[in-house]
Amino acid sequence: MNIEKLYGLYGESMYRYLSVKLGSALDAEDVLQQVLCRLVRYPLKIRLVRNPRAYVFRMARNEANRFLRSRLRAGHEAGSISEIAAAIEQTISGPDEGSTRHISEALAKIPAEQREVIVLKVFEGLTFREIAGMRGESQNTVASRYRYGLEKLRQVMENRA
Amino acid sequence: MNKDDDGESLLGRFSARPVPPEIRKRVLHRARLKAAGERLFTPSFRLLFIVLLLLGALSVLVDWPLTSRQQKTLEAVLNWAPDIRPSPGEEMDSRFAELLAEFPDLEALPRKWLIWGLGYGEEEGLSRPISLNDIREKIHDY
Repeated sequence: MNIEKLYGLYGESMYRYLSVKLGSALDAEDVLQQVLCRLVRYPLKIRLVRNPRAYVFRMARNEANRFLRSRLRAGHEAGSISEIAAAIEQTISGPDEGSTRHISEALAKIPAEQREVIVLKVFEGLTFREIAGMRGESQNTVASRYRYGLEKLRQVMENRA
Repeated sequence: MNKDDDGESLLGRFSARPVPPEIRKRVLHRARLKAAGERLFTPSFRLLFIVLLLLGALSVLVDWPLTSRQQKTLEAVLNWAPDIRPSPGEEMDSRFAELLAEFPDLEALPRKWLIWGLGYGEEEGLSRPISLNDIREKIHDY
């Protein structure tokens, strides 16, 4: 499978996911091109795995974590809430700009693991099974993170109101 | 309606935004460049490189035995040499030229042939390149 085809299948989803995870569109580009290179370097694996989408997202997650660790080692801090909110706002669209901004800020305030599950489930359409495979967790754990995340999101929105 | 439904319906009003085409272009361009640079480090290329390296080392380190064809060629040279020993220099040279015509790569005879067949000392053979004159002299001496 070549790079163009990989991008066509998973590129946009991965880009949005990485933007939110890293809190930076530029960093997401860097990591995405790294992930695509890795996928091309081991073309057989993606054909052999049972769920290619979960595999691709797992690779993106690992690469993003590696990137974040190297940034921390270099003395850079992790993305702030406002950076993450801005990144989310760039990747979703809603009925109007105001509501998109509000939901983005609320999503940025919930714990990162819950946010990740919500973003993957709601915006990228991954199943709990795929998210579980990608995160190396059980489906029950992922479903719990999703529920707690929604609850937390609702609280944040209520407090804001 | 439970709390999950509240949250889901809240998020249901939003959807993923398409990624601008310039990002696609940029990412693909950079990924292609990087992949081209990394191609040499793919497992198959690495394996090929290691195999070639091993073969190279083997051909340098192993003292291959003479093949039967090489032995026949060398025997032909050696069997021919005594016949020319009593001949005058010129005649020998002309016959030597015939020999060279028959074995055009005589000058490039492997050193081990000379060491084995013409009695070159190993040190002598390895200390300097063996010239055609050396071979000629050895055949005289033989």
